Amino acid sequence: MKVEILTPKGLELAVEAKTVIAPTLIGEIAVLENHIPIISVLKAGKLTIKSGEKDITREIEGGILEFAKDKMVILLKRF
Amino acid sequence: MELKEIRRKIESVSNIRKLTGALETLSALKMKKSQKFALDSRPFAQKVNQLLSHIEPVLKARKDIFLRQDEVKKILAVVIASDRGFCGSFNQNVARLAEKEIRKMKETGEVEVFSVGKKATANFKKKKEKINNSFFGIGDYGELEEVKPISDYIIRAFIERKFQKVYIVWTDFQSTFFQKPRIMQLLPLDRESLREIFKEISGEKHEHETDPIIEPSLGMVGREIIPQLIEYLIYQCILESNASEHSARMVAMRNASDNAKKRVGELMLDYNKARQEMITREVTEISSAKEVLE
Repeated sequence: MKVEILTPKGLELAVEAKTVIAPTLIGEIAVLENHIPIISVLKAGKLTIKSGEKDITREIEGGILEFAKDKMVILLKRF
Repeated sequence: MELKEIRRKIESVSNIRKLTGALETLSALKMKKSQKFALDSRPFAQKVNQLLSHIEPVLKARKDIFLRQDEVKKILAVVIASDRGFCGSFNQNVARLAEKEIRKMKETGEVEVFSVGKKATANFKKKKEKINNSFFGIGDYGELEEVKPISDYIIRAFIERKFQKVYIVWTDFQSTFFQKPRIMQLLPLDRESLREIFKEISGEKHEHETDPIIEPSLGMVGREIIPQLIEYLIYQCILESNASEHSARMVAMRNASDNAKKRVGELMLDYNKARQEMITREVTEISSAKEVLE
């Protein structure tokens, strides 16, 4: 799936990934390919994007996650 | 015209030119910066808008506070203009649209104004509109945190039901030479008005085939996401207005510099003509005096 990270400063990251682990308000979730559409609120915590070869892990301050049609968009204040 | 007088005029016009030239350079820099801010955050704002329209139907069914269409008694009109003048018709354009819309709003309820920018405040004071709150010093904003006091105030006033409707008037940045004042219904959230505004920029149609799951719960999404999304929308409006303001000022100052340059040229011509005339007159006087003496 495609993963895009958007902030008010622009598109910060656009990668292909297999799994995204994100901290939501009610706990961590892992989104795999072909997940059903989801909109979720993220809290401060660790965001991990796994692409198979290289994992990206970042601390985030909270934001909004949307997954639809094999594309994930994560809105953050800063990245 | 007296030589001295012309010389003084040339001096003052060249001083004006220096001033407008300096302002032009300054606003060109600011323009570049603010345009970058506005354009960079557009994809983000589009996404925000898309998300809002996705969750709107679900929240509407739940009669969420941000979407409830109550009977309208009081309306808040947020008007974004600039702190300083010298920017062509930028402030007048915003004021004209705002006044027209406020007249329309008055047919449905009592209107109060939230003016952002000293020029907007001054204008509404003169027009004797009821000013609810005002802000200034936003001209160089670029960070989300700086907009927070404005969005927090608006959201709080809406939640406390002080106002049943909130409109925002801002200037949409289209290009350095063209900016358009616009109005949008900010609260209660309205899918149609959101679409209307972002139609031109986004173009891309993006619909979910199935309704998305919304986590954690709808109520939480309403409380958590919507204030954030509204903050982002206000932020984008302010960025667009700033980019427009600096662009308008740059263009206005460039025109002023060009005019001043032209005026100096004309005055120089006058000055040289007057000087020649004086010399000719003196030569004639001298030669006629000489003839008399002989």
